[in-house]
Amino acid sequence: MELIFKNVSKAYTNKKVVNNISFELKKPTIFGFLGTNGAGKTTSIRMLLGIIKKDSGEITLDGKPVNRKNINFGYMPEERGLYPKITVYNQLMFFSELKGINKKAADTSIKYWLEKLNMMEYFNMEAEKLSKGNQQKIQFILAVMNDPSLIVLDEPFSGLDPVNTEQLKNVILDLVKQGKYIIMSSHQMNQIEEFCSDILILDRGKCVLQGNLKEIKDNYETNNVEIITNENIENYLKQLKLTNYNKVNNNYLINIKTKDEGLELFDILVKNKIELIKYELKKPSLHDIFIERVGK
Amino acid sequence: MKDSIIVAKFTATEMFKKKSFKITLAILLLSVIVGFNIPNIINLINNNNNVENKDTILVMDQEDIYKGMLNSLNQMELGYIFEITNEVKENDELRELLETNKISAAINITSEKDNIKLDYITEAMGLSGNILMDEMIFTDLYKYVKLSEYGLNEEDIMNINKPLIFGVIELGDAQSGEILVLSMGLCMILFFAIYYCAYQVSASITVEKTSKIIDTLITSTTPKSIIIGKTLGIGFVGLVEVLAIIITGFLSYKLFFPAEILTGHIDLSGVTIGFALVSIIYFLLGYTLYAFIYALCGSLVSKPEDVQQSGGLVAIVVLLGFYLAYFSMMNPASSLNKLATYLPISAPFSVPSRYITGAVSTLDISISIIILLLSIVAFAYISIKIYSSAIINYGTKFNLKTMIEMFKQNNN
Repeated sequence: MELIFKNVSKAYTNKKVVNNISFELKKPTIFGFLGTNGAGKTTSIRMLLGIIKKDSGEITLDGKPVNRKNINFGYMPEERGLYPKITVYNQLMFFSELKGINKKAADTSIKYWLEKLNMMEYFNMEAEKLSKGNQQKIQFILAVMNDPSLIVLDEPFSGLDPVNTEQLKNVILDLVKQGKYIIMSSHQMNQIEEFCSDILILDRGKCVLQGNLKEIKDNYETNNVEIITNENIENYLKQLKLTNYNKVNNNYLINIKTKDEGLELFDILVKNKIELIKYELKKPSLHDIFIERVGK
Repeated sequence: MKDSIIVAKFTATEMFKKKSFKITLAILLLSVIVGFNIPNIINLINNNNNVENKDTILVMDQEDIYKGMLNSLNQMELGYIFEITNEVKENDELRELLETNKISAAINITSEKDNIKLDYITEAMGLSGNILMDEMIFTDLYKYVKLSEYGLNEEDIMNINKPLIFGVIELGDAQSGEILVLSMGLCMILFFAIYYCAYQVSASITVEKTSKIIDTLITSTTPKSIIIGKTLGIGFVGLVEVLAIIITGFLSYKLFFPAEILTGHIDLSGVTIGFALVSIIYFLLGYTLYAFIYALCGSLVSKPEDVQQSGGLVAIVVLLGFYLAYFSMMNPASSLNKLATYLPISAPFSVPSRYITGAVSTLDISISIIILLLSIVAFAYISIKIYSSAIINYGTKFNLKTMIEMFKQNNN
C-alpha cells in the first residue's frame, strides 16, 4: 500500500495556496508536514482527505483516490471542537455511526480507546466540562476509533501536559507498528524530529524542503558546539573569535562556521586542562533548518 | 440519505434533551391551557366579586325626560347598579364620588332643542376609551317612552323595535367563515413554526461552526447530509412542538372552554379532506423552504451573535409572505392573490385559505406546488453549495461578492 500525493495544486481567486506539491509514503510511517501559518498545510490536508477539491494533481492510497467512500481515514483537526453540551459517549457514538461502524462495534471501540487513554471516568460527562487536554484526547479518539488506514494529526500534542504527551506518543508509535500511515503537522519541531522519518516543509504554498529527515540533516554542515563545563571558557572563545554563542548557566552553545573550528576549540580547552562535562559537535536542528528555509 | 438520517436523529434527540427546549415547550403549553381557561378565570373572579362589587352608574334626569322609566334599567340585568336621580350634581361633587369609587360613571340627560343629549361623565377615558354603557339602551328606552305617549301598547312597541334578520349567503364552492378563521390559525402556526423552529436550523449550524466541530463533521459526512439532516431533525422537533401545541389546544378547548361560548361559534364541519391535505402539504413545504433559507443564513455567518442579524432578513421575508396571504384572505377578489398563490414565500400561508374559499383552482395549486418544490430544491442546492465553502472559511464576512465566490467554489 502506498500513499501518493503528486503535483497537487489549489488556487483561491487566482491566488495559489498550494503549488505543485508532491510526496509519497511507501510504507507505514509518520510523515512530518511543516510550514508557517498560512503556508498551505491545512488546505493540503483538506485536499488529501477530499474535503476540498484539488485543482490539479493526484492523491491516492493503494491506488484509490482518497475520499470518504474509498478510504477509511481519521482526522484530528487543528481547530479543536466538540459538541459542548453532549456527553463524551454520545458524540463518539454519533461520529461512529457516520463513519459506518455498527453500534456494537462502535461501543466496543469507544470503550477500548477511553480505557487506553484513561478517560473512562468521563464517559457520561458533557464535553464542555472536560479540561482542554482531555477534550484533545477525545478528538484523538474520534480520529482513530474507526481503525483507519490513514490518520492525519494536526498539532496532536498542543495543550497536553508531559504525562499525556508521553501517553499519546506511545499510542501513535503503536499505530505505526499496526501498519497505519500517519501524517503529522506540528510547529513543535522537537516532536517532529522525534517521530518523523520523512518531512516536507511548505512556504507560501511551495515545497521548500522535503525528504528523509536524517539525510537532510546529514547534508548540513556541523554548525554548533555544545559544551557543558563548570569553568569560564569565554576567554578561549574570544581568542578563537567565536563571538556568536549562548550561555545558560554552565551550558554553552557556540555557533561555528566549520567543523575544524570546533575541533580547534576542543584542543585549546584540553591543553588548558579545562574540565569538560560535555562536548558535542552538533548538526543543525530541524528548528534551525526550518528557520533557515522559511524564516526569510 | 443514511447519513442525513443519522444527522437528523442526532440533531432531534439532542434538541429534545435541551433544557431550553423543555422549558420553552412547557411555557407554551401552559400558555395554551391558560388561554382556553380565560373565560373560566373571568367567571371565577366575577362570581367571587358578586353583586356588591358591581359598578354603580349615576343617571341624572333633571327634566324627567324618561318619565320615571329609567328605574327599569336595574331590571334589565345589564351588570351595573343604576342610581337614578332628578338632581344634577356639580362637577366637584361628581369628581369626589368617582375618586372615592362610590360610582364608576355618571350620565347626565338633558334636552337640547329637538334632541336628547346624554353626557357620559367619567374620571378619565384612557387610551381604550372604554364606556361602560351602550347608549342604544337609552335610545330604545326613550323610543319606548315616546311611543307610549302616542298611545301604543307594549306589544306594538316591541313589534316596531324588532331587529331585522340579516344574513350572508355565499355562492362559492366551499364554505368560509369559521374555516377561514381556522385557516388563519394555521397561518399563525406556520409562522410560529418557521420563526421559532426553522430559525434553529441556522442557529444550530452556526454553533457547530463556532465550536469548530465542523472540521471533524465534514470528514465524517458530506455537507449535503449535514444540511438535509439538520433540516429534517429540527423540522421533526418543530413538528412535534406544533403538534403538542395543537393537541393541548384541542384538549383544553374540549375540557376547559365554557360550552356556552363554544356553542355556535366554531363549526368545523366544513373541514374537508382536500382542505386538510392542502394545509398539511403547504405547511410541510413552507416549513422546509424556510428551513433551507435559514440553513443558508447559518452557513454564511461565523458567530452565533450574527445569526440574529442574518435571521432578521429572513424574518422580513416571512412577514412579507404572511401579510401577502393575510391580504389575500381579506380581499378575495384582489389581483394580488395570484401572486400570493405562486410566490413561494407566500404560497404556504395563502393557498390553504384560498382553497377553502374556492378561490384557487386545481391548476393553480399544481403550479404553485411545482414552484414551491423547485424553490426548495434551488434553496437546498444553494445552501449546500455555499455551506460547503463557508464552513471552511472561518471568519469570512458575508456579502454578495463573497456569497457568489463561495457559490462558485468547486468543493465536494
